Amino acid sequence: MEEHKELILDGTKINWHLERVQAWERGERIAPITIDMALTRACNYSCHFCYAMFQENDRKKITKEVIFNFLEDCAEIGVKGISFVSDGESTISPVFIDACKKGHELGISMAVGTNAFVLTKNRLEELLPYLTYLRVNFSAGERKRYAEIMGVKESAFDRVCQNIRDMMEIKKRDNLSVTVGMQMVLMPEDGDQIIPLAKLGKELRPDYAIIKHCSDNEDGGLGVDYSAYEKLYSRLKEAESYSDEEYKCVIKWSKIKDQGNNGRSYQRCYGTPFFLQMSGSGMVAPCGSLFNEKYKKFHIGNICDKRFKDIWASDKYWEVMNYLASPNFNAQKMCASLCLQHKVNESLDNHLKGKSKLEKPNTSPPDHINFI
Amino acid sequence: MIIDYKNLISQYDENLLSKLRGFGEEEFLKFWVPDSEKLKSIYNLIDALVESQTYNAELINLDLSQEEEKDLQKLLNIAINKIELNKLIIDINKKKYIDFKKENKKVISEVKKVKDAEILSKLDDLKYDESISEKYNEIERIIKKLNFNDKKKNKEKNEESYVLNLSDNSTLEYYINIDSGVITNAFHNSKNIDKKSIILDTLCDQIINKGISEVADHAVIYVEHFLRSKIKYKKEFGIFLPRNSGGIFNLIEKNLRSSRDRFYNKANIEKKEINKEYKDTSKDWIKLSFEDQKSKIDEILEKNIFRQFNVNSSDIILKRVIQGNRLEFILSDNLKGDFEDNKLFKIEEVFKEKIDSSIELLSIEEKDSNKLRLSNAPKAI
Repeated sequence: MEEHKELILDGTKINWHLERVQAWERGERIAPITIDMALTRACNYSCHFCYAMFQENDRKKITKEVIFNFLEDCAEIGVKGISFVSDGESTISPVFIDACKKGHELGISMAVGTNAFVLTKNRLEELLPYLTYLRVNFSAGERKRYAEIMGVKESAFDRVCQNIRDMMEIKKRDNLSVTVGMQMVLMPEDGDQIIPLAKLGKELRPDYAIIKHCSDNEDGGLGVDYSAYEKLYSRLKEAESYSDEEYKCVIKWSKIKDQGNNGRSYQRCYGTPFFLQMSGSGMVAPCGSLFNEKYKKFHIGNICDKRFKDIWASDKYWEVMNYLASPNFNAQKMCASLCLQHKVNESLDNHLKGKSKLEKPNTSPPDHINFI
Repeated sequence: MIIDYKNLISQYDENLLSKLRGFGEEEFLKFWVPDSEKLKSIYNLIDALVESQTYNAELINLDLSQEEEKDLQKLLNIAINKIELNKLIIDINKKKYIDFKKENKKVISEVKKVKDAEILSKLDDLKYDESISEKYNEIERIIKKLNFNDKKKNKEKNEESYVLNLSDNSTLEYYINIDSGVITNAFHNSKNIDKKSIILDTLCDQIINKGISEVADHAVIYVEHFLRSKIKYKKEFGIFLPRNSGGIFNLIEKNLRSSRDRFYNKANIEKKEINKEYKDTSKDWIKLSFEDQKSKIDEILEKNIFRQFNVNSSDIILKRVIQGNRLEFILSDNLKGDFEDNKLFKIEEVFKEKIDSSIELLSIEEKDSNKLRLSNAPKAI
């Protein structure tokens, strides 16, 4: 498997945060290392693979005051990385740039996953210096198929391609440390776009292009046939061959080759205290699988109504986390497939079962260490 | 082109909460994102006009302060022709505007220096002793009877015996069926009721009729969870793990894993790569009709939930039972609110106790309100 030497794009960095694991093992109330959240549930795209269609919950407005309070609370309790990647397009929020800047000033690593449509050059000039990474959701390599898969006009393809060129130009010009990537969420039926995407990446030259699986909910609502990825292995291997010294085309093999929930080796969910997800409605839930109103019992609070540090310190927060780690919960049956916390869960579960003890690797710390 | 700024902002805010973008006919709106400050929103609007190659517009209903008006003057003859308190005449000279942006590029703020904590290289080793956390001290007051002591039976031919010996001559023994890998019997020899014997007794209860892989993976989790349900534990705790409950849990876990490994080394049955054993919902419950299930649930609500949780029949109404164990309720705002004592978990616990331990409590799913997404989805929601 080809992989960028300094970036861990297919795995977890939990081994680099053993002080937090140790506190967790002792029964302490630990702060998340990473939080994935959005600043809104709205989106200007309409991707047909979007998990957000299963995540509807009561929407509230995240204002500048709300997000600044949140970021200050995160810095105070020890959150290390915040990524604006969740159930909405954060770049269309009026507070997006301010939030990235504020988090950066507080010493929190900031990142964003985005369709990048509104990230025109002027906005990128303001934004890029504050980010650790910027990942563009780009799930096709051809104009017409891009429009079909991502639910937009074909002209959006041209716009985003130009935005990516501008990102790399600004990065190089100003010698910025931000990593710029493209990400394809691959549904098996869209396998025709694997090579076009790899080629497009080589032309646009972001730092990397990554191709990943598509997550589905526990009821298979998106209809992802995980066995169908196997037919695409040769094409995915070919896509990797487009990598060169400066551009890496990476496949998230561990998740592509997994069998969805069939391959899930663990029942308890231990990862969410380390890697929390929040909705663009401001709602705090352990993870994206549980955002929908259906899972009300897991909804802990909303940062639009209450300070995050108070939500995090509450008994309710830890009751929910303990529920997920208890015999009452079975991730093999009750969860979305190949979730965000999957690799962290696997590592922690294997560690607790004595299969593979967590230890700091004998290498230099990887990039993006605060995004586990 | 006339743009009503106040109306634009109000609609944008509304749309962020209620629907997609794509409001209005003008192409430039697709590139525009307002800011939390009015002045910045106006500058963003001018940027968006340039991106969409629209160089002339009239911006009305602005209600500018004098400071804002003064700030905008730096764009006179570059992107603005005329400024009034309630109106801007936009007239963009593209070259001058691009030059202006280059010259006025913002300085990046200093990063707050946070001292990096030293990266820990390894975790503490587990303690394998017979210590038991003091949080279980009250167990001896609560549990008055042992059920699995002195219940030794003769081993069958197709059973193998495995043993856990503790320091005070306490012994736990369990039999594994060599054809199925299932634990068929478990017992211990403790006479006195104390924390240790209660743990052994609970372990026997948890492991009988379960596969050895499942037991090796999860038995101590089940034991700890059961014991914790009986006590008032310290609320400041984070995650409860068996390993933070006392060395005896590690000792037991080590024994069970060792037994599993020894068993599969000599067994004729293959060890499954992934253990998927989990409690099945009782067949007696599944075979009931929905009406009978509902009747039972309503009875539980009446006797065990309404008064105890200060709710009534309009707060929690059963809509359907999914896959036998998932109870979907229509919940009132009274129950859905943010309660510190997390009533929904407690209510679920009642149903688990009264009906079946696999019962889950759900509320009604909220459908995606993003209309464009629904039309593009591969499946109907």
